[in-house]
Amino acid sequence: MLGRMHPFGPLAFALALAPVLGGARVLAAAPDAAAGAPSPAGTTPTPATPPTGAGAAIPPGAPPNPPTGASEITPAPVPPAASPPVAPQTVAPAPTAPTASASPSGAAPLQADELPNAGYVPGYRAYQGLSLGPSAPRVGALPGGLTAGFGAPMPLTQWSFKWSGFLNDSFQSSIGRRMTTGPDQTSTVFHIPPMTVDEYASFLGTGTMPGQWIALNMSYGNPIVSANLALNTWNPTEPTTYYQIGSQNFVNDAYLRFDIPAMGELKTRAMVGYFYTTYGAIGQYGLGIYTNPLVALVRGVGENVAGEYRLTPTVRLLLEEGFMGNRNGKIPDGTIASAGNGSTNPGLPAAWVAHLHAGLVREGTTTFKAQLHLLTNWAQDDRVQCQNASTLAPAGTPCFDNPTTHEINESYVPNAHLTVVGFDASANHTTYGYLGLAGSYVTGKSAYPLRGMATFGGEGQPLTDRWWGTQAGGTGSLYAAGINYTASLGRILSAPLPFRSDGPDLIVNAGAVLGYTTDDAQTVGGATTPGALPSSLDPFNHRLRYKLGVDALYTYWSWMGFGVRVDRVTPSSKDAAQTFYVLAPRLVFKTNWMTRETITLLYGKWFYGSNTHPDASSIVAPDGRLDDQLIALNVNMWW
Amino acid sequence: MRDRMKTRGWTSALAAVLVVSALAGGLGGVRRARADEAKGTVDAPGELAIDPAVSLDPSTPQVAALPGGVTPAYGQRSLSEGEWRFDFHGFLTAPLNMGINTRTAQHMTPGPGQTNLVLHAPPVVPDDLETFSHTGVTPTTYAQLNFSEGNSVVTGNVSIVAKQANVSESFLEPADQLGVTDVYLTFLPRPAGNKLHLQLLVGAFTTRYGATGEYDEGRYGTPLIARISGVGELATAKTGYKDWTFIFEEGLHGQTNKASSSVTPDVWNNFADPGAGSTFVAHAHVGVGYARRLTVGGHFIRAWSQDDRDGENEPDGRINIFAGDVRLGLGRFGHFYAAYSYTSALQARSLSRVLSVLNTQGGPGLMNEYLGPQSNGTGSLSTFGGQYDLSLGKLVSYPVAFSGDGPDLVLSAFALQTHVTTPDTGSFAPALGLGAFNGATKRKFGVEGTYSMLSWLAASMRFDRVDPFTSDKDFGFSVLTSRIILHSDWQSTDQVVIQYAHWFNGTLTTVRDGEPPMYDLSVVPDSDVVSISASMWW
Repeated sequence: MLGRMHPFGPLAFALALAPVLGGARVLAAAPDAAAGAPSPAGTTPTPATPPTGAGAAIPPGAPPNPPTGASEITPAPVPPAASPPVAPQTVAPAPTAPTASASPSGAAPLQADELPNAGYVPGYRAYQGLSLGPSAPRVGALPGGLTAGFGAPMPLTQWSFKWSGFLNDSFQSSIGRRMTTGPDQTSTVFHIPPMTVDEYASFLGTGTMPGQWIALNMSYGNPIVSANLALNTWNPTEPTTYYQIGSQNFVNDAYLRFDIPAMGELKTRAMVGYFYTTYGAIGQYGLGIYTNPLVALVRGVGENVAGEYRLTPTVRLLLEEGFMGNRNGKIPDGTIASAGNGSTNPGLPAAWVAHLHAGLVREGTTTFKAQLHLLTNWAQDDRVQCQNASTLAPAGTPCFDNPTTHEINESYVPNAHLTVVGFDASANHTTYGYLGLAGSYVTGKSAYPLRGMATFGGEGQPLTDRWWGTQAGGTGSLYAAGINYTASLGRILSAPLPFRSDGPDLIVNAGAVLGYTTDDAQTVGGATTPGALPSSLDPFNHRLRYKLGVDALYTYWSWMGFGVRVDRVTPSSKDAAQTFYVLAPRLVFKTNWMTRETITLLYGKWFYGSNTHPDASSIVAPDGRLDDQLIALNVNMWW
Repeated sequence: MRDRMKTRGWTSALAAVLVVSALAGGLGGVRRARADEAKGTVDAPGELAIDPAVSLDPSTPQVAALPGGVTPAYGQRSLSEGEWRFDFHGFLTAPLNMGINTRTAQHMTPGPGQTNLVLHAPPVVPDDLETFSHTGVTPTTYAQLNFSEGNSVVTGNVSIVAKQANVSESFLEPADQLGVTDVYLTFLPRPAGNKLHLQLLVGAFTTRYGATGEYDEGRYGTPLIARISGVGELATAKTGYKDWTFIFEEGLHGQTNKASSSVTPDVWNNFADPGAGSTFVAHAHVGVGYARRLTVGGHFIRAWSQDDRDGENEPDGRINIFAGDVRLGLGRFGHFYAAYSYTSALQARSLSRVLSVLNTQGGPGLMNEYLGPQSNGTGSLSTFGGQYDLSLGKLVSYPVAFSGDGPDLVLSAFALQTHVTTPDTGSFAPALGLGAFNGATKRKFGVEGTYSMLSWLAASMRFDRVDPFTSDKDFGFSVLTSRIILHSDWQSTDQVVIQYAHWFNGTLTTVRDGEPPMYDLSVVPDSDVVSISASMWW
């Protein structure tokens, strides 16, 4: 609800003194408020249910299967910056007749109090009080002379509240053995979180461990604009034994979405605020059989505009652009990295992401889609380089590189760049299933400190540590490609009759991804790194890694299905001994053929190579041995 | 979403929500809080009516009973499988507490610019939740938002919990903002016929056994048997024969994280314990109910850990709990609950917080509070306790039904005692040679009366006596609490409580101080506490 201040000018100034004289309340033109408060209970059912089975639906923009052990640490929420002093309340004289401009709906302004027990509603003249209501946001006045009328009832016919969500919760434990046992010790041990080689966002991860992810998405708005909020966590508190700071994302996404009315054949959508966007998904309802996006995942605060233009009755042109910055920019100097603040690093610069996309969609029995992507992530921030003019150091004190951080030279920090050029394509046949493929070429230059864009190899830090090597300092290239195919045997066999998935079915999901890296470990930060390995001995340079997997789920009864998944992972073409396999059979229980929930009992078995090891990971295995078995009880639901 | 219910408070007093479905018979539905309407027989032979239960519903807030004898209620279910329903419910308590003491009482002399009178927030009183001394008299902040989405067969439940409001904190305590706490699905399969009711909970939630209140954790906010907070499953089956109902329940829980050896226990991580290993809890329960009035339960809970990451030489630990309880819904004669629990711990140092006995945190908590620091987590507790609640209004109005919309006097009596056996030969106050751990008997009891005189006004008095060591009365204390309770109607879902409590402390009454909280004999507790708190539920 928006109102307008009376343009009284000098009188408004005089009236600004009114609070000093005894309190006053901003009066805006009476909104076109419907009598009574709308119930927020109304919800809109979620759209089509994604299929069950492997690669189950991932809500758009949400990271699937978030970390189970090593933390996707985000700093503790920063208290809002001190708001500028609230301008003194101004009071407009009580109008004898409503003079406000027309309300958005065109209805006549209120002539009398029509909100019984209105309580605190900004701009509602019936309210009397000496202080600002506690629910008033702790921010200054909005630009433009508007009065935000939060808390006012909205016209039921136009505004609606939608609540959707996703929950994935797992009881999972890996099984290991003690090397030696002492008194009152069993040889079999259970590890939570599991200590297998599987780890979120690592190339060694196959998604076998179901993990936890909870998303509560709330949306309130009208057909044109909506406010969207997401509460997320990868670590619900109830089953934890200590508080892992950063695991409760709390308000993770907060943005406005504008669905601009179509202008001829052009449809436009815009998002502004805090959100994620993901590119290079090769699954029909998610990223595919593996969890890393083949092109990139962009997160931060900024804007994204997408347009769709219908060229022909069956062909649409897609265009999209976006610009983002870090959610909280550069961490203040003097902050000491510790577990208590998520190991936050003041050496990370403010970073930016700009991206552009174009695609075509051809609809038909087989819907084809092809898209090109160009993304760049960069930083040009002088504050991350240690300053000789520090007040703590005498003038002229030289600034030294921190020898423990091999990836970056703190005494000289060049601008960081990360560029991704990618494509993705898909063919969705109504009978024969969904085929997706994608690829990207990633180049980085001193990209270690960059945040905001996760490539196939991750953001700047994991890209450096896991793909190019610490000596490369974030300089290198990565070629990534992937393919994924999903099909329903029941649908194929029942063709040409439609198959509504209300009967026995076998769903197959198969995919493969690979990554090839080159780097120049000879130079870091513009200077030759002493002791750097020559290219021929660099374990990261000219290294191919790939993994492939097949998942099958056979549902015979409406309430139960059997599934099995097999993966082969080759972490390095230079060391065959790192290759390992994973076998994971499972039982899936649900309440009906097409449901929004599943319960899964899963057993996972890893067959390690002689040199299989974690990949720049936080996993610390006792005696250096990884567990090779996993049991899990997983439940998930979406709405 | 908000269900206007008739208060049940005359027989159950303060509460924070329980849901007992009158429709499906499973845990988690709306309870018609009219026990005076309960007949002695079920509706039809073999049919299950209002179900007894052996545990408290996971959605019930983890707080003690509210003052004033009211019962919040939430947890409505969809009526049909085809109807998807969104429900939003919640509970909040926001208190201002002020502990009053003097410098001279603390053996200090006021200096220039100092008053003798000192005011403490939070109050320095022996009322920490994890200690036996906890009475629940001092209200604490608690906010819980329950979101659910589902139909009559399956429902997704998510709760968001906070134990402090950031706006009122003087420094940030991250661990008080629990965030998303419970995440679980509730399944209500419908086997053929109406003779068997099933319920399955899968996900992250808490189960509590030994709740003395009819719909809440009781006056002490302490489950007498155990609290299990983890991720796993809980399956409940109920069947009936004539007036009899039989309940079978089993569960398996684990945890989702473990502090590594590199984690330093600190305020921000709620004092993580790297010495605790991955802990699992398996439990089984049986119950027999008769005519919706009597429920007798038997419980077995086993928690164990076999994890090599809790220390190379740390033995595998376990805790076994054997318990029985009886619950009587006596109609106009009130509600009675009693339980006995035997807890046997063996090398339980490595057991994590998944299992909570008498509000302690895992094996280390049991050691700190009961078994002694030198016990290594070995020992036993024999615990019994109970609570009786009575509404005089309902009693005297019989046979006329008492609707709760008139004056009433609610009385409650409650008690808890535990006896400790441990190999630790030390004592709580070794310098004084008092408070031996082994053979200690800890006892507390209390009475409370609430008179609702007007639709908006009630007055309440409560008396508690606590003896952490019955053999050493100097550690004991008494509390006399008086309250004015304001609410918007006889059966409103809100209340504001203005409270004054006086603590009659013994010469050795001890409080915990510091971070992490540790007993400090040198701290002189406050003798008076003034509180004003607001509570609401929907």
